Amino acid sequence: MKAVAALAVAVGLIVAAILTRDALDDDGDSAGGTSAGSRTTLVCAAGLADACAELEDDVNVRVEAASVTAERLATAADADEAAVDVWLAPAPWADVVVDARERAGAPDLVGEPSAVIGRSPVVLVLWNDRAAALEAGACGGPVEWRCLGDAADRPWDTVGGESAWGRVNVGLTDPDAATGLVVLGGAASGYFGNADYAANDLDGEFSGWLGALGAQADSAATDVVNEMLTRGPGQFSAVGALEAGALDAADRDDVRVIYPAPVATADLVAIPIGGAEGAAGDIAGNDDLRQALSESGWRVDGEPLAAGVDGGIDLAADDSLPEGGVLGALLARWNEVTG
Amino acid sequence: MRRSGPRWVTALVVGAISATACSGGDDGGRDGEATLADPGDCVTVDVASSPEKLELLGDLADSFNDSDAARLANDDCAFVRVQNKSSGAAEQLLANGWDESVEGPLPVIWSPAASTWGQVLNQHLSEEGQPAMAPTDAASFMLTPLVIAMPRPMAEALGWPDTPLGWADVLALARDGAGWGSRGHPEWGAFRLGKTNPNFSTSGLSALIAQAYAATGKTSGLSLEDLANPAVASFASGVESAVVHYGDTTLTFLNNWYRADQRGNPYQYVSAVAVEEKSLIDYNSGNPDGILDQGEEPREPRVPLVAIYPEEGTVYSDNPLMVLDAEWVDAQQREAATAFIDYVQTPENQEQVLEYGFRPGIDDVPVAAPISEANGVNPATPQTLLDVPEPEVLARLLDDWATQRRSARVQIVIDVSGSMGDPGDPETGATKLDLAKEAAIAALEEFKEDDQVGLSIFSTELGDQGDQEVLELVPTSRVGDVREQLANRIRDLVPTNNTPLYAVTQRTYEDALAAFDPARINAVVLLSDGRNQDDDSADDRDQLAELIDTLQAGGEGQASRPVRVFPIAYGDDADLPTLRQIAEATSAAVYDSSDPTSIDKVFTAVVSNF
Repeated sequence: MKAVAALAVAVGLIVAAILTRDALDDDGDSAGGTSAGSRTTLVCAAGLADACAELEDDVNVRVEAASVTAERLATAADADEAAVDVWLAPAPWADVVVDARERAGAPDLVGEPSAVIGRSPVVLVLWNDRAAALEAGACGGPVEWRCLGDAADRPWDTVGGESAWGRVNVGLTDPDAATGLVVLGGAASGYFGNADYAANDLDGEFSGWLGALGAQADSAATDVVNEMLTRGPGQFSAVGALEAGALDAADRDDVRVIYPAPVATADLVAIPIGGAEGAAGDIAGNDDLRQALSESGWRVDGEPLAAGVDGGIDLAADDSLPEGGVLGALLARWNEVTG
Repeated sequence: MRRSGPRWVTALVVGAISATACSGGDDGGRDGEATLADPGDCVTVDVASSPEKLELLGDLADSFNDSDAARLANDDCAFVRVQNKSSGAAEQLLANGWDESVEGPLPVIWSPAASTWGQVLNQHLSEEGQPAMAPTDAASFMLTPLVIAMPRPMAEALGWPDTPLGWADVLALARDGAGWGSRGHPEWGAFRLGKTNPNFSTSGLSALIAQAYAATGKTSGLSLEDLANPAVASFASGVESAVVHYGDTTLTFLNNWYRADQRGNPYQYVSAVAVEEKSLIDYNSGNPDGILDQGEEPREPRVPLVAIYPEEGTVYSDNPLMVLDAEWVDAQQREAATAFIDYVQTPENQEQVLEYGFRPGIDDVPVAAPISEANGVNPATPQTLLDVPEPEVLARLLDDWATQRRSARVQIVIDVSGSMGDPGDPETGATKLDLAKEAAIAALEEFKEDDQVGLSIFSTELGDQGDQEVLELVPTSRVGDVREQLANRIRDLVPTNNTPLYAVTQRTYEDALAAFDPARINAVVLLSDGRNQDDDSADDRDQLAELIDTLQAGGEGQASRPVRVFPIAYGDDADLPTLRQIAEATSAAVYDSSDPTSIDKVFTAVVSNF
């Protein structure tokens, strides 16, 4: 049912996007926005809709799944066909599209992304008793991605927990979603201990680990933290998400928010398409957008931290993620092992 | 809950060729469907190209189409389109009938990897009373010689680079019961040779020719009389006796060799492989299959390979551009094709072939990097070139090879789980099992009489008591004696219950190991359409880990008994990653038949390993 629901959501987003574009066209605006004098078209990755709504007075805003935008940008002949001027998404998505176009021999379309607008680290959220069981059992110390994946999909009583808990069910944000790719990349960085891995390293042993981690994967899972908190430990023993998506977990005393090393981050940028660097810079510097992102849990320079954001966690200068081609290969491997 | 999200990233990887083994042959990749460009009103020149040069030739076609060189007389224009067709497959299609609805347009230019395929085609046509189609004087696009690749320390143990080496040395090692022990390295075990099936692979065909010449001491004029000489046959059988397995592409060997190298021991999987020089350059650059997949980075092997140019002589893969003497090629197309051939032979375009590790096809462009000693090859060689034998001699060579090749002992294990009853071909209504049965029965014809083949099925609740997971339907026996029995038992198969993949693979492998025959290629062909599914899913991960450990342990050490498991991932729901792990653990290859209607070609490719 979840897969069907996911499909319905995806179709809904696409239909909404088409309707939005049609409406804009009816008003005489060009959704493509690449010709002189037309309004800029900003595509926001799903999950950033509220923040992007702050810009609707200035630009045409379209919200869609990151994978949908990425596919269109990767295959579009030019900016007009892409029908987007600026894409607001975590930086790795730009790399993935650039890599895909290079491999296809397509001309450059994606420009240099803006400076980072906001950051959000990848976190693990675990029920306290499950976390304690893993620390004393399979992990033999702090819970990290590697030992969580080793324990995933196994009966709890074989990894330090109780048989009544069933299996170690791990939920991950759908990697086709904007933030999900970052979570997946962070998980893989956790497996390898750093971000310096390539597709060569995604071998059989890694595939087995990833397959277990994704055994409970669900393409509808864009808010796994909420699913976990509302449905209880029977749904998920642990979930991987962005800190900005786990604010509700931070003030609960029955779950723990962990920042597994190396701490990967989603670095949100404005990605110019077809030479729209100026528009991308304007959007990146928009105060309303920055404030809205901050309020929704992103770490934005010069803006206060939202409740639930742990200011004691220092983030590395880079995002601890591999390059775009590797993330693309990782996503393909994820699709393969999760069926 | 299994996800059903988009697969867009995979779909975007244009031109990437999976390391998964595939049907078709040659040494660069798979035959694939491609969307052919619209030529407009121009004269269309369709090119059937072997895969290793597809990208380069395609790029040249694009630049040609946009250039003045494409302008013909009478204000006509030429438009070249390149499609991928491995040499062996194209030869068979041209000989037996090319169905344009399935295979794409009939080619005006055929560019197999080597001119020998033209000879083979002409011979096959001659046997059917038809005129020759392949010209014997076609221009060469680019060159790469056949070499014997060896890890540098092994070559040095034989006296390389000071001592000339060749096929006679291979034969001596193959016949030496002490193996590498007689060369001061008992830790390397027996001498093992990698060589592809000459019916599918250009390097396999070239090696066969070179072996035959080496046995005669000739460099030209190989004759039927030569092949009838018992000493020549004995030479061939001796070399074949060291072969680990055959197959349709050298990439299987190179990928497995590279994995062994990365684990720290490149010496016991194979000692030497007959490959094209270009493949060796790719291997040493850390790109063993010659293609950098998405996100892949080249990593040089711990132990580089060196090229041995057989002292008896070798042959070039000359990548001819053959304008076919066929009824579907008209004068205008011939003119347009000639214009394209002239274009690719200009020096500036010929310089591009060097970037791909090939030697230029014209003398005006000198051999240069990456063809250099630093990459394990020698630009000053080969010193001795062998003539391509006459068509009837080539045909006899292939016929003889069918009996001289190393015999095999193969257990065929077929998944008869309930899902095998799902539709396999919507057009005909055939189930997946129907298609698999048909393909398996047809593939039985590819085994030689002396091969030993057995048949098992697997699912849950099998047997009289419903408590078995695997049933042996035909004990491993000489194919010549049981071919009909095997076919009948396959014909009777019906879909049943679940898929206890791990337990059955483990048991079948252990049985094959127990019955290991050192004189044969020992293998299991495992066809499965699903993920492991048994009574207890709690231990799946441990079961798989134990299975992989068992498979790896069997092939390691000096006294190893290599049993290769060749899995076929059948249908969309097959567990390709796990089957790949199983194949790699035994230094074999996994075959992707996610489209059930491809199973006939896939089965043929799998059996080409024996």
